[in-house]
Formats: sequence, structure tokens, C-alpha cells
Amino acid sequence: MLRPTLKEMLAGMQRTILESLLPELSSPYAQSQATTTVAMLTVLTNWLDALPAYDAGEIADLRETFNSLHVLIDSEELKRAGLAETAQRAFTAANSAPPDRRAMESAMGQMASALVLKRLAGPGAEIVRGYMRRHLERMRILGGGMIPGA
Amino acid sequence: MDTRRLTDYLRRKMPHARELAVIDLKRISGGSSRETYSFDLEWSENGERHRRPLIARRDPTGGLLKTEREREFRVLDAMFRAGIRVPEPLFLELDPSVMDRPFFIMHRASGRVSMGAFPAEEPAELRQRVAEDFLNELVRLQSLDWRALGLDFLGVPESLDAPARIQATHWSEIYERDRMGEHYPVLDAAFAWLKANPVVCDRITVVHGDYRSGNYLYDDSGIVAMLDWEMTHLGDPMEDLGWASMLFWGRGELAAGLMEREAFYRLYEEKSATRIDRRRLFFYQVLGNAKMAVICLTGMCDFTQGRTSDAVMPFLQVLLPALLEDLANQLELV
Repeated sequence: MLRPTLKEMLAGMQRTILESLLPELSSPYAQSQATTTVAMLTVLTNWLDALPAYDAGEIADLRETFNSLHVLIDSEELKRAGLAETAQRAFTAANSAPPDRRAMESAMGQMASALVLKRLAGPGAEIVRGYMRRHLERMRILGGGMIPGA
Repeated sequence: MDTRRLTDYLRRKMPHARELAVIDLKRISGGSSRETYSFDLEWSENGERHRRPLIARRDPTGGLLKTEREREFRVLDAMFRAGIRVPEPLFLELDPSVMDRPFFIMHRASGRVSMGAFPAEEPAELRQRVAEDFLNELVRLQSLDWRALGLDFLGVPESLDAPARIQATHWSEIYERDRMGEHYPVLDAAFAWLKANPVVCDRITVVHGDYRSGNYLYDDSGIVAMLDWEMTHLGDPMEDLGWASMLFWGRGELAAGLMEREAFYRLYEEKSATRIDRRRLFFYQVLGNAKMAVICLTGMCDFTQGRTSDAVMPFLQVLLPALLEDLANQLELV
């Protein structure tokens, strides 16, 4: 690993703000901006570790989800919901090299919309719900479980 | 904003004032949609020396909301005239040459701010008093004769089914504008649901638009002032109640961070002498979560594209998971 690492550099920048900049600031607003920046740099430092795993997890899960939905491509369930074409497009996006994440997320938005509008039911609905649960869990871990007002 | 230019401006606005001085002008945090400055104004008039605590709110270069300062000032003025607890608005300046960007000046109310849940260290009786005031002010706001107050300029919905439609469309458009090419499946689904399930209100009232914990000042006597009127519009009274009681503002059982949820609803019904339409309340809680998520996206978009340098903006990214999770639970997406 190249030294200094990005994390070491970010930690150094935090010390610069706290030890060199902050003591020179007389305005409470500027002080608050400086300490907020330090806190955000801590979040970014944590994301350096967590973000690659989050991205890889999202892409792998979307790919697996659309592969599972592709099995249902000829089902009445997807046809009735008007989602057969969407599922086909997402399947293609999932299996291109590299997978087209934005196209998959856009298709997932359409799937989720059909679910809340009760146009999608049965096994397809359960596959989409399963992805949503895992997706939100990954986001929660990435966000560090930070909840306002707690 | 600098002291000399502000002093010159106030001298022009207060021609009878002598020995006018702006004291301790400083930018303060809060009110992220505008730059907010605190200062004291001293002057002599009729042989007497006066001192008044004031706030200047200036348009940002970017920020959370794209609203008009004239609109906020006129709303504040109408609320002050109607006896709603708001800081007195004093001067509105639209000429950008005066202080680089439009701004307005209002009285600076003193009090404490409660962010999220009401501070646990405060006495339980004070929390109850603040909860009562919070709902009293809301009910008073919703009973205002907005035509008599000249608030038609906010845009009068053409029918009782218009407010839900207008709000869902408005926030969906901002989502499309500020999502920076990303798709958030939960938000896509939420806006699809909101557009497919509009509710019909029973009357058109003033809607504060951001009625929640964190947007009032209180002291030991209760609420002193309701703040941040930049999203005020005419619409469904359930919108403010839904927004105020979102899980997001106070995790756990406390609606608005103040009172157990069902007790909060019962107290509102008692004070307003109306029954809460639970379907409409639910609609506006879903809209509220989606709207807050979009406000976060706008803040991040403006920060990364250089329209604001406020260090709070990137933190909004961290708030998104909780909002999306609430939406997914509400809409049974999980």
C-alpha cells in the first residue's frame, strides 16, 4: 500500500483544521463550519473502506435480482404489470460487461413503482421486496445508522 | 454582509434615527436556505437611546430551497399582523446592489431551539406546554382568513383535490432536477404512489410548509416564535400535521419530538374541533418523507456543483437512508 494512505492524509487535514485553523477563527459561524468539515471528513474516511463494498454489493445484488426476474419474463404476472420489457432491458444491462448500474437502478425504480401501485404481485413482487430489504440494509450500514433526533 | 454597508442602508431606511450603529454583526448557523446574520441596532430618536436585536436574512448563492425572499417577507408580515407568534419583519430590500443579493431584516426573538426530540433535560411540564403551544399555533394558522390577509398571492388551488396533486408534482419535478442522473428506486416508487393516490382536502388553509421541531424558539413560558416561513403556501391543513408528525423528526414514540403520537393527534382534534382524516394524514407523511429526501438531494447537488459552500450540505447524504427506510416501510416495499 502506498504511504501515506488516503486515510492518513485525511486525518492530517483534520488535524490542520482543528489545530491550525480553528484556534485562529473568531466567528462562531466559521468555527461551526470548520468542526462540521472535520466531522464530514470522518464520514468520508469511513466511506473509503465501506463504499467499494457497498457498490460491489449493489451491482451484484441488482444483477442477481434481474437474473431471478428474467426467469419470470414470460409469466402473466410480469406481462399484466407491463414489466416484461423492463425486465428484459434490465437483464441485458445486468449481463453486459461491465453491468450498467444506472439502467438497472432505473428498472428497479419501475419495478418498485409497480409494487406500490399493486400492479406487481406474486413471486416477482417477493423478488423485488427482497432486493429492497437488502438495499436499505446496505444503505443503513453505509450511513453508519445515523438517525436524526435519536 | 458588512457593517458599513448595512449601517448606510439602515440610515436611509430610518431617516429620523441619529447616531445609528450596527453592533456585533455576525453570521449564525441555522436557516440553511438563507444566509442568516445577527446584530444589534442602536440609535437615538427624540432624545432617547434605543437598542434592538435584529436578524438579516440574505439570499444564498445556492442552498436547500429555491424560494423568493419577497414571498417569505410578505408571509411573515401577514402572520405578524394576524397575531401568530413570529418575529416582526421590518425591511425588505430587493435591490441586489445594496448588499450583493436581496435580503430582509426582522426582529431577533430570543429563545432556545429544540432539534429533533425535545431536550430530555427540560422539565416534563415545559415539554407539555411547548406541545400545547405547537398545536395551538398550528390550529390558529389553519383558521386564518388568508384572503383577508392578502395571501392570495401564494397561489390559490383551483379545487379541493388540487393541493395534493400540486405538492406531489412540485417535489417530483425537483427530484428529477436534482438527482444528478442517479435513480433512487424508493423515491421513484414514492412519487409514483403519490401521483396515483391523491387525496381531497376539506378546506384550503395556510400551510407553513416546514412546521416541525427545530423551527420554533421556546423559553420557560413556551413557544416564543415560529420560524422559517419560506415554504409557506395554500393547501391542505393535513400537510403540516403530516410533516410535523413524521418519524424522521423524533425517532421513537414522540410526534414532533414532543408528545406520544396518538395523544398528539387527539390533542390536535380537540383543539381544532375536527377529526383527522387518517388517509390524508398518511398521504402527507409519505409526501413529507419524499420531500425531505429531495431537499437532501438539492443540498448535495448545490454543494457539489459549487452553488453553496455550507459544510452542513454533504451531511445530508447521511440522512437519506433513514428517510428512504421510512418511505419503504410506509409503502410496504419491504
